[in-house]
Amino acid sequence: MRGNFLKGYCGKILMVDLSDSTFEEIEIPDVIYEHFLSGVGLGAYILYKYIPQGADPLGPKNILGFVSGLLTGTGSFMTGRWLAVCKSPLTGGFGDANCGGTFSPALKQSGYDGIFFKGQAPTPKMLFIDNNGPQLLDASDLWGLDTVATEAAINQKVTTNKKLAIATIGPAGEHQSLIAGISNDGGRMAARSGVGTVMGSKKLKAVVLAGSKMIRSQDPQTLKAISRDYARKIKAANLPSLASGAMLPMMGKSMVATDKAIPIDGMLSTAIIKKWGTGFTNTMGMTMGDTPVKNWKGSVVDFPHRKYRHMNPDQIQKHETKKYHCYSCVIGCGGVCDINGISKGRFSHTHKPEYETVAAFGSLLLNKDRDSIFIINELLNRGGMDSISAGNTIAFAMECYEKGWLSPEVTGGLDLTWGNTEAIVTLVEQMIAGVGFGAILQHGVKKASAILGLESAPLAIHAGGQEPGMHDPRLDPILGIHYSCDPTPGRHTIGAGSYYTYMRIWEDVTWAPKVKLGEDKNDEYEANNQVGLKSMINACIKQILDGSGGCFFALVSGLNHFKLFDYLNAATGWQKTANEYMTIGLRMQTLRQAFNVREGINPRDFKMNPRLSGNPPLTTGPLKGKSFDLDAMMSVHYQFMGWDKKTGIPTKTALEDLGFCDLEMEGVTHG
Amino acid sequence: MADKKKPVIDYELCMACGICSGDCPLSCIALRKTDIDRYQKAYPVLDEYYRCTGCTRCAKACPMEAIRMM
Repeated sequence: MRGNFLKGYCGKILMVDLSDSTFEEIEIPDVIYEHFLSGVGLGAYILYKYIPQGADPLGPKNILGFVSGLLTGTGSFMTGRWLAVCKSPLTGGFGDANCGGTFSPALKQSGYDGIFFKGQAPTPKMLFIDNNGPQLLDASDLWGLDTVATEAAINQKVTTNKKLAIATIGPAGEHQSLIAGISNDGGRMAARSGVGTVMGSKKLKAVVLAGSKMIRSQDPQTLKAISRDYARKIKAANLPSLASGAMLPMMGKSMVATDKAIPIDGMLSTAIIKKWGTGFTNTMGMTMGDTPVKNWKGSVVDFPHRKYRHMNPDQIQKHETKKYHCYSCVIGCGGVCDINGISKGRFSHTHKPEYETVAAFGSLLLNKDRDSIFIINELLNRGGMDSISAGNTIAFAMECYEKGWLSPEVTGGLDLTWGNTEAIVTLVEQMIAGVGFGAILQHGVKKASAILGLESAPLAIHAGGQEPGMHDPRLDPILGIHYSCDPTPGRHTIGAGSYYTYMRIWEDVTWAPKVKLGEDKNDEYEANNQVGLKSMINACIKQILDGSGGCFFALVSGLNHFKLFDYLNAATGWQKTANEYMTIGLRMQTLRQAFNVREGINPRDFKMNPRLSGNPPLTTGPLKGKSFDLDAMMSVHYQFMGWDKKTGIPTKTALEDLGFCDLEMEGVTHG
Repeated sequence: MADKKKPVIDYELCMACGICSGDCPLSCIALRKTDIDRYQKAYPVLDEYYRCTGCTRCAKACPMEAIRMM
């Protein structure tokens, strides 16, 4: 038996060729895990190695991978995330999307750290794996079904001993909307990067897992002991019972009332997430300035309390019938909401709308109708479409409409006045179906702008083709660095100044700067070394997290509580220091950047829309007048990553220092 | 032949993480008991008593050591 079977990972992947329905098990050497971990790192390694340069993202040469995390299933908590990876049709570069639920452990219980697909099937297929191995089955009867109906149909026709874990696309992925995601567990979405689009291009309707193989680690008792210690802290993290959603806007105001840093313990954020999930910031973000308004050009003045109060998470939780949490989660941010009445019997329930969806279809569009957001949430989950990208794209259309660039003749009679709930819902339905005016918007904001004409480009809010999450870099400029510098741009979970403060990484990584009480937050608006170092650390630790299957909310609970490095050592037996793990994170991120460079991407082209760096600045609200020099901040980030300061291309020296020569990865070391 | 021992969950220790449910090879454990904590999290219940083979995987997997075979 190979030693790697006792290191938390399976030591092999499955490569499925959909063109000729063949399977290949590929053993992955231990050295690859030691250099890239599993999850996104393993995904980057496989994509770099097996996707030929210049492959069409929607062609047979692209590869779509489903990867679990190194820590998933090891007895560690908060490590039940999986990722879809591919060359993104939205950005042309490295694409990944992250999701929870029960799919991640099922991948490893099927015997693989990742399942990768190349080629294109002539007719719709689904992959089924149980303990007897993989089979490609006909899925013609499932093509056209939404994600929830697909899971139900598969559960009807496939009988196994173990409950199925199913990842599937909906109609959006089938008809190649560029903002399609992949759903599991009835509407949890790996939403970003157009991963569902690639799945649809391969005529792969679903991946269905029913394996029950053991996942073995080096030191299960230590893993459990770390988990028990974390659980004790999570159990104790509770807000006073009197805490109500009505207090959240006041909290938001108080957080922007000072320019001084207050490094609070991450367990406070955990207590808040336990109570409300991500919805805690539905209203708090409005008063802080974090939540974008009116296609990122407005402020709380345009969407005042009398409107945003409808998004109070207490009001949303009145519909919650039970909590929902992912495998191995001890926080439990999700919920299931009854929307039978709201939807007039159309849908019985939906996953509790995440903050991202509430903001993208609330303040971003000046829509104060909470009920519509429940319905839109379910429509997008079932259609298999990214709510962040969809909301941003509709916001773009509404601003064009406001300027008179779009007429009702072009929109098919839809009145796209800000806040017109009925038109928003109709447009979402059209985008999912790829019909009407929705056929123009279904591919995201960059393509919609290209179709409608160049003069609309300044209104198209994206970074490198991907629409940003609902967090404003004018409040937290380091967030803007990550929107613009990550190889998969536009994502809000990579890093921010606030995340850096919460995770307290300086307690583990000796060279990480400590955030001191009273530090001037305005320093983060300057392209200084501190900003470069913090953003570099953010990028690296996020790779380690995504290589482990870890949850972002565990990271921001604080690494002083969530012992990620100790978990990794206990699972693998490696005994690496936190500093050594950071080198792994840097290597993972550098490989993703090298993939982009190889695909002909100019990293500077991923620079986000200037509106998001305050160019021009907002004229109202808490972020009034805030701006920063994004070009300079990107430079300082590149510099600290070991990438060329001007171009963002990894330098030859950095690649050699990270050991790419030893790995004999052709092309990477050319810089 | 005596019945095999079955998992019994100690809800004082259980964190409702779902590891037992996810690791059960026969999916005998469901997350549906919601009257344990103030958040109404869904805690595990042995739903399929007669299908359960007493394999002990759930008990071995539980990080909280909240499952005993009885």
